Amino acid sequence: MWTIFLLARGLVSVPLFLFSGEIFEEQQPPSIEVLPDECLFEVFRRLPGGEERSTCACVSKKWLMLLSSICGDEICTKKATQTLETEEKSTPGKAGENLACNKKDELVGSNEVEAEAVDQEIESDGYLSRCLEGKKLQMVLSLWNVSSLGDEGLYEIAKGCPLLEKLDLCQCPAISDKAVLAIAKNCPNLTSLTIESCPNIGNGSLQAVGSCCRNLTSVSIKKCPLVGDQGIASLLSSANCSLTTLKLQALTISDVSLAVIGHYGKAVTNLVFSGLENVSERGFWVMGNGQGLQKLRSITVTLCQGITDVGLEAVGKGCPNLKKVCLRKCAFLSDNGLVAFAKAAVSLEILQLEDCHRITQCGFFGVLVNCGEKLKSLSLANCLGFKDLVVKFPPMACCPVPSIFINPLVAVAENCSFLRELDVSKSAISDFGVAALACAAQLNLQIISLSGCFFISDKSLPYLMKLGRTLVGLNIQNCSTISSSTVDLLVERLWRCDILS
Amino acid sequence: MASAPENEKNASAPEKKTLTLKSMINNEEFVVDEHVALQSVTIKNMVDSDCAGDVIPVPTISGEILALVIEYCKNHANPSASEDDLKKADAGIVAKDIYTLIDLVLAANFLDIKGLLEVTSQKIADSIKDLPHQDVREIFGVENDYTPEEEAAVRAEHDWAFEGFP
Repeated sequence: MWTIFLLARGLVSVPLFLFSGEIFEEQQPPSIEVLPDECLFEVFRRLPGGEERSTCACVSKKWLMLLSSICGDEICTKKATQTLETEEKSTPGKAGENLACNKKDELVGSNEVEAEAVDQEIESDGYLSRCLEGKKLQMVLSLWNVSSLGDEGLYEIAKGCPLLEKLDLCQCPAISDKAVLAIAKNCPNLTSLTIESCPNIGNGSLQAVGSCCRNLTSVSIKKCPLVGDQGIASLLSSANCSLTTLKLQALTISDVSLAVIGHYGKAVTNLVFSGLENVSERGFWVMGNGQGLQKLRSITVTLCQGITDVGLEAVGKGCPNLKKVCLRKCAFLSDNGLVAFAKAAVSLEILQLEDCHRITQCGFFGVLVNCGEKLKSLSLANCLGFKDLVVKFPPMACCPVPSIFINPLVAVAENCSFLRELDVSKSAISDFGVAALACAAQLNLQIISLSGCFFISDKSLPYLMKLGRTLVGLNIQNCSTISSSTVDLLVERLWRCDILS
Repeated sequence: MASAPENEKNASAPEKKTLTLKSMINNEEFVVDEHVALQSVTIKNMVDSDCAGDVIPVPTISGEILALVIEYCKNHANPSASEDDLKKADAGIVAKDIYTLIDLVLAANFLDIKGLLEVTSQKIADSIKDLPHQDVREIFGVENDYTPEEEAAVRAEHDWAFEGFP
């Protein structure tokens, strides 16, 4: 029978040398490590303050783990112990079972649930336990690749961390809308929500945070198949929506979502769209014409076939405060759209184009003519249609560019007196273009990237030297036509400038 | 089954039922009133399930510790003891060296006596609280399994976390 008791109480692991008592006592004093975890836990939760607990966490890894599993409501102050003792006294003579008063019972009950969730977590990666440590102060919870943590666990966290400000869930397949709803209800301070690759989180979550979290300013959703137009709509259309940053990536949402954003996103300053396959030109057009995005300052669009000439122009017209635009892998965007956009976007300061192969010098000139004076940073990375070779210049009919602009970098030199950063990586820019830049007296460039420009040779050395007077950063990586001796010389002479080669 | 001893007790007060607890480490035996011993949930469960013989063997607890446990149980089984008296008595029981305290925690945990576990845990916590972590390791015999880098990282993390903590 004893064996059964021992097994049931989990005590069989207690080392036996202890019990042989005094014989060993002299040589090997008993260590506190003989205490089972639940006893150490009892000790730790009676440490008076956070400082003492953190000191103990430095003792060993096991102690850190145990301390991490203590929740705020499990911390015992001396007062609590006294009340327990009082109640204990009030039922004297009765069997030990009655010693645990109701309050204590509840405590123990909730301990167990929490401890379970935390245990699982420690097994998977231990990140959560660190977050829970001292969680009265900790306001960010990130759960990455945690398959074992389910709704119940997150529900406990929601209860225990009412001050949570940022929630970041990535690859948590066991978490569903129910848990996010609990977070939304219990954590009114939530300002940032990031959800990535969570197959069971859907529209309900967005609706809940939209209606409960008044302070929510940033939402990022990526690869969640259950999130659709309904979720985005309820998130944005809820009263008091203070959302300023919205990132939507690899979702199945349609034009409807963009229409809602264009209409209700009155506080939005930052938009990121990526891989929205079901959004068409119509979506971007409606978003621009919704006239709601008056505060929008920055937009990044990657791999969206909807960002066509018509779509981009509408965005430019609808967002008068747009300062930064970043377009990547937009296969349908051509010069006409870019120029029309540049005319509409009166505040544009930073323009980044990457892998937009239909953009040529024409579009580039158009941007410079319309926004050149305000541009601070211009980047055309890996846009294969962009060259400075006069012979390959396309017919001028596509856009009204003065004939003086036979070379895009000449155009840059003449038009952009405020330009500080220029990125023309992987383009067909040649020595001539660099020379044009160097000769522009009013230009005050600080960062230039010419990486992967195969038409730049050692002949550019004197021009780069000249540009180097104001440069703090120069990227000439993968320029195989620049010899190493030239690079060495540049590094030696332009000692103030960071050179990537 | 649970109420049987109580009824008996009420009916014939002088013939109190007693239990004998025997430490298996040094074979010391203690005869205690049943209602005193029943403060241990473990023993209560044994009695309730009829697997307690005349002598109850206690396998992991030395006689010295068992005596302290029984003292605690006697104090708390006395209905006339005031709260202050109990506190003083508890303080006396736990005023021991750290190794005795560790054994006491083990005993309280094994016998499932919540109150004793609480006062002993509190006592250990009190003796830990003012020590720097190196001293805690030394006094309590904890092996440091951190690498120096890890320890620095943990310390830095906690410094940050508890900045401005009251």
